[in-house]
Amino acid sequence: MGAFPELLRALLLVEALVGSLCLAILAVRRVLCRWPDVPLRLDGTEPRNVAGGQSLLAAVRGEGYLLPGSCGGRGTCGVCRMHVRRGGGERAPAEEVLISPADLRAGLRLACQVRVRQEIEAELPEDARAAAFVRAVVSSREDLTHAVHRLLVRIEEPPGWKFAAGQYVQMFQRQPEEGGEPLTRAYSIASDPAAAEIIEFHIQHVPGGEMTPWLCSRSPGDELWFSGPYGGMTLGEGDAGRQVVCVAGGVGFAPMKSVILSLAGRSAPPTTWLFAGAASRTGLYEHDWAVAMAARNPWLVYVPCVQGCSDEPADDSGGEGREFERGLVTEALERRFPAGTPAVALLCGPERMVAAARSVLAGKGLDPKDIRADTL
Amino acid sequence: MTGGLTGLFLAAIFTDNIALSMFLGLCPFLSLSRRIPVAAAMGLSVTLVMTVTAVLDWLLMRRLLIPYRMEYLQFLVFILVIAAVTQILEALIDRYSPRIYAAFGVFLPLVAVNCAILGVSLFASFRDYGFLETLVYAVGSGIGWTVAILIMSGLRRHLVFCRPPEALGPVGTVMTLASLMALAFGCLSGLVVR
Repeated sequence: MGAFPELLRALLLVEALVGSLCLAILAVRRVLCRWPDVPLRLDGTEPRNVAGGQSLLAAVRGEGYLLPGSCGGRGTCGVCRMHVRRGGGERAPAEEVLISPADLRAGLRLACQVRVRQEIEAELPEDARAAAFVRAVVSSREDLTHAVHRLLVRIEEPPGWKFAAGQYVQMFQRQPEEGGEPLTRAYSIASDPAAAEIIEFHIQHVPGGEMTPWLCSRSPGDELWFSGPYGGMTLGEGDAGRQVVCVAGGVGFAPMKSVILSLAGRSAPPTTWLFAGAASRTGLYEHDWAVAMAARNPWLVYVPCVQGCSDEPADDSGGEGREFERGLVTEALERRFPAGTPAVALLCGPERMVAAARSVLAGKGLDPKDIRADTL
Repeated sequence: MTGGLTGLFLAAIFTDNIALSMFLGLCPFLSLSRRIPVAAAMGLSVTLVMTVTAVLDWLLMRRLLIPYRMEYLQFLVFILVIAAVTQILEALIDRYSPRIYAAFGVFLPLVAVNCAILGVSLFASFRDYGFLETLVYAVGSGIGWTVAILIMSGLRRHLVFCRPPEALGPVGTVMTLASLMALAFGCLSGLVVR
């Protein structure tokens, strides 16, 4: 037999084998591995039947609740947390890594890692219940530094959308359609909650990132979609009469700006500390705003910190004779914030900064439940 | 002393142990033998996949490759079958026995790259085993591999009580242990007549 027909025959056999094996796998998945519908009971309401076999995250989203999450259900961001009372099954390794042992014992799970296989009883986080799907239009984009951009967006739908200072939204890269997991990322709101028609975001451009290059290329008039508001890094009624300590690293400044604007709207704002850290002077992108704000409002103590890169000119004036603290923002916190002060702390920045600030503040006598944080 | 199918079965477990005399499937044998439950789960997965793939590969070999004189596609065909069988078994176990699925964890998909599986199919074909012989050989090899990894993990639990030469390092220690086990299994060779 010639070489060519032989080759053709071999190829045909391999193709046929691969094809039939794929068909067999598909058939097994579709026919033999089909799950029956499973009752899902959220917050003790009437159970509703949802398709079995999917993740709890998909099931909850299918029920119309906007549970946050920014890794596409891969179990890496650790945001889609829910208390699962019954039927959650075995814990996945990702959960043991991302959730603290105490929270695991209390039944906290990552919704993306829980498979809906039997009747499930779970509780929605408060913010997921209140969150809405928002359509907005970019009204302006401005470069604050070479890497940080200010985006002002006008809320189109729903009318009367509200948020609390310190909360964040989940930005979608495209209009989410039925099916498919849209790419989402979390961004804190930097503007005053009293004026919620136009809101402000500070976007750090991540070169080669999946989201920020797209977001930073939006121009006025472009539509944006996000869900929210989410997050518990806010001040509540119970915090009256105590000082407020805001610790921000990099674009973690954004929610602090919102918090300070909302405090400035109060009749008697509490003494508020704003520790803002960056690698270099240019990284303190809203320095002038903060200096002006502190000059106008005696209740605000602004402590800018730069790590003191050698390429920066030693500008120690900082405006109004205010000095830049040198070193890490947590070192400045250690030096400047008086121990034993009754206070509530809001932390937003890189994970290591948040962890370090937590331990500094705990050392200064703050109750761990009064330290609220969002990591970037 | 035994021969026939019983002999084949015992040989696959003891004297021709796939891990200790053929040195196949050594990566999981060395890396997953730290804890006994993990070793048991892996052994069970290997036995299961080994049996199913050896039978399927025998059928494909006898009914397709040999009649059409395309034995040279053996490796490719066997590997494809192993990959597909692993996928199907994973889906089925996930659906019908979530508890066993949780016990297997990541090990079931790992089986797809275990060379002992391919080895058993190939040996069965090289040695011209019939259907029943292939089945017995595959089950025996799976049990043999499981026995080997279980003994290894049992021994490793006791390593904390002894002081092997430091220069060996952890991998060297386990390799030495494996070779001693192979010697011990070799002493059983009088058990089977071929």
